[in-house]
Amino acid sequence: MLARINSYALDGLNGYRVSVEVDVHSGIPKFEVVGLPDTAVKESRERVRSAIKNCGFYDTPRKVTVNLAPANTKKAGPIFDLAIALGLLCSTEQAGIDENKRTLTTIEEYVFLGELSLSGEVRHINGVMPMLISAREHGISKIVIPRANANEAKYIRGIEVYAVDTLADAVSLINGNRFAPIEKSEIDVNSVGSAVEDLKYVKGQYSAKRALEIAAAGGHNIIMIGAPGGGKTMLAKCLPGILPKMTEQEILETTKIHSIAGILDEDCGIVTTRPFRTPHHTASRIALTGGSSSSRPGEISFAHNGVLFLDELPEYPRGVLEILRQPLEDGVVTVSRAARSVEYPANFMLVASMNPCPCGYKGSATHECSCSPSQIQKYMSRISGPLLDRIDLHIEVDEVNYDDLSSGELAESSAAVRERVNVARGVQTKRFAGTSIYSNSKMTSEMIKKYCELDSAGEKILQSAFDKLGMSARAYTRILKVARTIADLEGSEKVSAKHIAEAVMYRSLDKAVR
Amino acid sequence: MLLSDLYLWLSYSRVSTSKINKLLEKMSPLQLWNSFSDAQTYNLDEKTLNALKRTRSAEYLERTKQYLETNNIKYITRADPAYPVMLAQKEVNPPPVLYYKGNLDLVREPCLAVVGTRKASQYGKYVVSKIVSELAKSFTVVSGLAAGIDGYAHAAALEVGGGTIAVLGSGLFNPSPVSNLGLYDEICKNGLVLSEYTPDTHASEYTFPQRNRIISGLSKGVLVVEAAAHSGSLITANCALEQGRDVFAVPGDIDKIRSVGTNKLICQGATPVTCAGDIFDSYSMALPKSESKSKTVEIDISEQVVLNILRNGEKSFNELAETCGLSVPELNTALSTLMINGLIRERSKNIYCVSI
Repeated sequence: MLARINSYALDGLNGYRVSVEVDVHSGIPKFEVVGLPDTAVKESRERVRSAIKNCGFYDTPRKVTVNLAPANTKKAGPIFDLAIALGLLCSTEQAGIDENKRTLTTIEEYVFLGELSLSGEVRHINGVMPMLISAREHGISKIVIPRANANEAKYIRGIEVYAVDTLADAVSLINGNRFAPIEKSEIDVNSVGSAVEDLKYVKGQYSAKRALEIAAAGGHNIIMIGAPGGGKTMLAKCLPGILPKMTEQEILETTKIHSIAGILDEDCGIVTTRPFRTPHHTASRIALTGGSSSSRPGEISFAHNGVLFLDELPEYPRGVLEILRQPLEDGVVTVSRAARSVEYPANFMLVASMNPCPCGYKGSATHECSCSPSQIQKYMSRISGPLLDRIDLHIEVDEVNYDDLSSGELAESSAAVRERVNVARGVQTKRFAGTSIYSNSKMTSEMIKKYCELDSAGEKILQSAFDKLGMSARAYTRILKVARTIADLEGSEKVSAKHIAEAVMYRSLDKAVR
Repeated sequence: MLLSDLYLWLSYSRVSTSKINKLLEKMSPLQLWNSFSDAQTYNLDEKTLNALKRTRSAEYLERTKQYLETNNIKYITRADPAYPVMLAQKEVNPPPVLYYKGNLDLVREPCLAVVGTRKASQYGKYVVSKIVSELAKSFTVVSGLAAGIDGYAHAAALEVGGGTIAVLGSGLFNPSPVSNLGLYDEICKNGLVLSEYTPDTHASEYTFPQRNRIISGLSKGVLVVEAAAHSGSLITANCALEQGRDVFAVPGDIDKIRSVGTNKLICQGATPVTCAGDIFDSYSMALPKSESKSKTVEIDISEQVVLNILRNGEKSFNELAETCGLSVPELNTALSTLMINGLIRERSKNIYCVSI
């Protein structure tokens, strides 16, 4: 007899319903899965059979055909295990029937997701959050997921979610035994992330710390240039501690991606602090943008609404850096492969660090630089102009001197800076309500015109900055955006001359006279 | 046979200039040309003889002239009355032919060479832009188109609309380094590029020291801005002394590699230069009138505070932040405004001082 169980699959961030059809008929004993399954799906037959046996049901020695409809999309991963097992039990009349052997209709109401262990336990799967959101949009009201995924499911309202521990639980559910769906809870937007480092331990570096504060407040891309040992990496590690809290919308967006990739914290279930991703410079292009046969998201999508930190920027292969250009501009990355094309959000803040030259001591007060001009040129040319173009803040990080290191005084703590950043980001959230952006750094030309209007003193100082310091034209909009954030930090409605003046300070790579 | 063609023959034979000049002391170019046809005995080593023989053909010279013309390269020989008088002096070891692009009239104006290290520091760059922009109003600035100080000197001269001469250590077809190619094109248009080497010659480790004598030869004096202990700029300074030109040097910190050479020059008697006026004084020239820059700038209190601190000596950003009592954003704004108004400058990264 034929059984039909509902399940769900993902295409990029969007889910679609998969109908798992199981038919048991006479013939040479065989277990066939059709509907473009990948290896993990094909292997599910072994898990399903063992799980059925170990849960006290019997395995049928007949020919079993499993079809995953629609048959023309590739199915990946072990998420159909539970649905296949239930289908097999229903088609052998071990489940889903009442005392009079009449088929129950309850089975139609549910969507089943879950991987099985050989013992019949239902295991954690990836991508529950986006599937739940899609299912809700498609009007599905009841969904069964592994208990291990319950934490990420509890934040999705408008859909009944049932968490099961074992195959037997799921069977009792479709046999008509009702139990309570998991309780929903509110997303806590005020949870504070823990940074590895705190700004209060960073001595000196006043200019750099201020620039980080601005970057965090406006979501601006930032590059730190300085000699080795100056504390560039430490400054970057302080960043998670001062990033503004996430909005509910941002939390959901980021959690979706982390859910697909399986990098969610199971205990927490959602991403409540801005991600801070630090891919190593050996990372491949695919690792950064996403791709592979299953079109998995990459590091830049993991950093969505958070920070992508590239330490020692020139060490990354140029090809890898160049692919950042389009996502930096659009906030999305399109992963196109022969069979399909998937779009992942990638709205990240780029934080990079680099040395001023290969030996690291160009312009240093304490060391002589041993690099030839051609070496320096070669080093700098690894980062293309168009990429630098997209970086709003350039700062020179000083070497730390001994007095600073040995002084016992603590600087301002990350928490205090974060307060200011939160206020500034709050202003921006209000300003951009109803648009698709959240921060000053993503303003379009039209918005810049509207929100960064300058008075005559501001115009004048910007004009003379261009003349005197030899700024390039590409600096123009960057300065305006940064000036807007500085004004927000100060709580000022208007962008005035002093904001422009400060913003000019953070364009060290643009100044012709250096 | 024209005398200029004979010099071209000598140049294209690629026999070293000093050998040619030694020969020319004994006989005129025409005698040299004729002596070959007479198959007389002459006192030449075989290599030189072969080189001269190979290129000794009227037809070859005609072709060469055509080649230079089609490639838009002009040349001037010692036979030409326009040949730079300064170079004709024996100590300079004058090349038989100079190939050039641009405006040759520049060599007749008073020239001053500005040379220095390829690995210039920000200090060097600042010094060049400051001094050369003054000098260029009265002098044609001669240098070697190298990276670092040379390039800055050319660029600074061009910026204020002054004349500049680049003397290459290679043929005109192979200017180097690549980073200065843009500058090369600009000098071809608005200045003069010249070389004693035939256009196809590639630079070698011998050609650069050789051309230094032309840089100093063309000039009344040589200003060395930054030079390490064994810098090529010191070769230029030596050439200048041999040729009887003045040597000027910009003093620097005693603990900096790039100042060792210049400080040594000063010890040995070079005139120390701290501003363009020092050079004008030494030639008893009047300082060119600079446009009165007495533009009054309004300064607010925080800027005044920063300016007062910096007047007592340079300070890093961190030091300023700790001493001036302003908040970091205020300090940033003040520094930026002061820099934009030209009252202070960033001496090197994150270190600020009052601009003079």
